[in-house]
Amino acid sequence: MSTTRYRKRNSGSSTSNSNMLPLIGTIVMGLFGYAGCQPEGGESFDLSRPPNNGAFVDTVPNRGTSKSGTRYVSTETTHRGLPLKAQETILIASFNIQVFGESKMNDRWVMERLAEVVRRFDIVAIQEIRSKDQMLIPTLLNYVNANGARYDFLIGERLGDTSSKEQYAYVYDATKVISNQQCAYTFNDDINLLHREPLIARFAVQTNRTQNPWRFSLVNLHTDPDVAQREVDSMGGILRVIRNFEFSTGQEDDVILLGDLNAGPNQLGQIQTLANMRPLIANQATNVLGTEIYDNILIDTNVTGEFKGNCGVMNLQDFFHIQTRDALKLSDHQPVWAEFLIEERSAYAQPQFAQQPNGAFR
Amino acid sequence: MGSTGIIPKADQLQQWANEPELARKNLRSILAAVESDESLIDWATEALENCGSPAQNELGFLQQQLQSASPDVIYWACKLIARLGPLANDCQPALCGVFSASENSDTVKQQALIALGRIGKLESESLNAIKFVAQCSSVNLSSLASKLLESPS
Repeated sequence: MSTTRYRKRNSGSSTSNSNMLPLIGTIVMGLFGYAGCQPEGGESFDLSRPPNNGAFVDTVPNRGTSKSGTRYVSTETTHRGLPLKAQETILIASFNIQVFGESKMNDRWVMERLAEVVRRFDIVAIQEIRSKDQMLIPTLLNYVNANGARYDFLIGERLGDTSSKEQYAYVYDATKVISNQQCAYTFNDDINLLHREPLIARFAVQTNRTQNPWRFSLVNLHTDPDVAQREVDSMGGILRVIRNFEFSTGQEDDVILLGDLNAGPNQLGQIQTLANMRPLIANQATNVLGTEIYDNILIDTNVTGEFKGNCGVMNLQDFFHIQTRDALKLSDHQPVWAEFLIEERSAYAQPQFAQQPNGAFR
Repeated sequence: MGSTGIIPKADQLQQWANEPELARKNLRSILAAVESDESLIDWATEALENCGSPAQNELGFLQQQLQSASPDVIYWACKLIARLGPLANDCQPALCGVFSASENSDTVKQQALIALGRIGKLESESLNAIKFVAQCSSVNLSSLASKLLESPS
């Protein structure tokens, strides 16, 4: 299973914007392949339109009201502000599972704990899958779904400049969100701006609690630590192109960048020249040793009004009550997460930054 | 030319991937693992990604690795040299040698360019080699080389 990879036109430009023009070509070619979003297996649903899963049901206690009048609740928190999964919210996480390959797949202790991490979220963007064995993620899903959960996955192609390749994946709760492999694509980077081009995927919330479920696109990225600053700078232009593409093909304005950026919140270079693009993790270390902020989730604060104000870092040592040396068996990174409303909010509805249990967003 | 380190076991590599100091001490073994068994390559790569700048006294060894038969070893030798920045000044001729070996891929040559860029002040022989690369047919390479020539040393 692999993602659609759109080929761009060869612009051959040498203007001052020469880096951008081939990227724009990617979008133009992408229009033809992306609009249909046909899932594998014959079932058809169109992510370019919001799914309507039935009548709006308002049965939840009222602690807040979205712009369109939908009520939502502030969810219970359990671990350093990480809420429990709830029908009224979507929890999105990013997790670099260091060298996620055969050695981890064959370790039951590791797999059971990785599964437990996944089950705490509705979507997990995974980086650093390093395995030729394409049963790795299905095996993880076997662990995740062992208790009756219904998670599914999207996976990207194997990427990298050396014989050690990496893949991105999204693992998601199929009872909460819908997507499919045809709605995921690897950004085509012929001019080699990035070591590992991002995997983009489009999701829509499945719910009968609102007539206007939230739709969004995730951009999963793992930069090369040796040239992280250069790649983060390049990502500014690339993200602009992805956002234009997502909007032009699906009227999607909620484009969220997440992953292992190997750059702190103050080192985001050209990404932060994109108006209102802000990192949610600002002052909590994201590596297991507790020394660096490598991982993040970035949203456009003017557009993604669905952000509920909750975000943070899941500390593996605390969560599993394990020593750092055991946490390192899982990964050298902690998962980072953010909580969103399930209902589409109009652009320019302000995200609720007032609620920040971890002091994560400034 | 192969690296001279003893190939480590997988669990050793896994440990070194999370302990940069140990990784630096065992750099030769890790580079040996990069061109060895497939099951070791991924953790060896991770150890190299995380180990930081190598000891300066490894520069001679790393220069030798630029002539390795393994593209992955050359790639990582370039990256490790790049991390030493101006301290790797003596590596300029060996890095330029990467351009002239026809079997080297654009990816490997790109890493050699990055390493030269990190060294900073380039000798005239290096500048000539980079000018040559700037005229090559690979858009990526020529673009990177041109940028390097434009940047103040």
